[in-house]
Amino acid sequence: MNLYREEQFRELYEAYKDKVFRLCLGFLANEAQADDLFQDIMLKIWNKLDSFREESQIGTWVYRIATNTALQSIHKQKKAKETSAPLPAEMAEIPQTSVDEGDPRLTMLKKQMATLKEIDRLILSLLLEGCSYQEIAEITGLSMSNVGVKIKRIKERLRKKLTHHE
Amino acid sequence: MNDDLRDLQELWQGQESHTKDVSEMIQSLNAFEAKLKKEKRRLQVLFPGTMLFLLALTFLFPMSIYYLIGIGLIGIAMMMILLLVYRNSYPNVSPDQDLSNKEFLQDTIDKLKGRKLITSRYMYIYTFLLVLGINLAYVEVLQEAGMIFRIFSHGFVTVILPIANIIAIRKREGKNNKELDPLIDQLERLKLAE
Repeated sequence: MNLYREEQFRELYEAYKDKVFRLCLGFLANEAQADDLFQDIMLKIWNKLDSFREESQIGTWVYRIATNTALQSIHKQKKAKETSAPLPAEMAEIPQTSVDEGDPRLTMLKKQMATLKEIDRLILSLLLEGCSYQEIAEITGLSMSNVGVKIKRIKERLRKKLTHHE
Repeated sequence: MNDDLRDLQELWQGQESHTKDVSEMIQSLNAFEAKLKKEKRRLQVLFPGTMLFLLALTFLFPMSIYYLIGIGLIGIAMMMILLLVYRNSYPNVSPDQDLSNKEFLQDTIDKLKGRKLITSRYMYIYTFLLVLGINLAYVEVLQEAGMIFRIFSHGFVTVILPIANIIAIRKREGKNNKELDPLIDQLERLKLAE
């Protein structure tokens, strides 16, 4: 049983590590923080593996855990900041981006993601992973129509920025 | 925009994770424990062996109270370290049972911190007791020796032995910080993620 669970986790880890890591990166932008969040998510997946029911897609289940953990981590960070020195509102909202030496469009995309609201950052990350509107709705717990509206706004905003950038 | 999005998706999905596997941490913990088990076995032989040798001397030669107090102190110092090593041991980490157990995580963190404390605090006490014990025993053992030899022997035990021990302790502290601190941090994070 233990070996089966370990094997199941290893397979899942191999299949989803990059996707979950990108979600963390899209959410936090800073690689070191994304690393921490990634480990928290993987541990939660490990702990909850027994509670996975075959009725939902494993991918949706993994993303749901990742999304919830990411949102919880941001709330924890906010709480911690409230008890320490206050930051200006915009600084508290926007994560610090790490230096990216890759494709300039990717750097631009990450910069734009960092300016979005938390939930929009998650929706865009899921969209970039190729999730359908319905999957995004299932993962985030939002209605399909709400997801549609949000994606439209995000795309519009990105289009403007990317056109402006070119 | 849809073409742009597809391009961005391709770019986005080209990013790969380079993060550590949870099993890597389990391996580090178990490797560290295996190393300590070896050390424990060495202490199990070395400490009683030394004590038996010192006690045997009291049967072979009539010894005074200084000698007995001296070997008593050495014995107490060795027992203290042996007990602490035992108290801060943990069984092999099994990912199935242990990493989802908050109490286990806390216990392992405490034991790893305890290990650090053996080096950073108790090894100094051990050195002090050892120096005191050997010096007291030397009062008896070196009774017949010349004054210069006695001064030299006491001086060696009082100065050189502590210096050598302190150098070894400092080295060990550095090694502990390098090996144990990342493990403690990781376990702390796992505990918070629970």
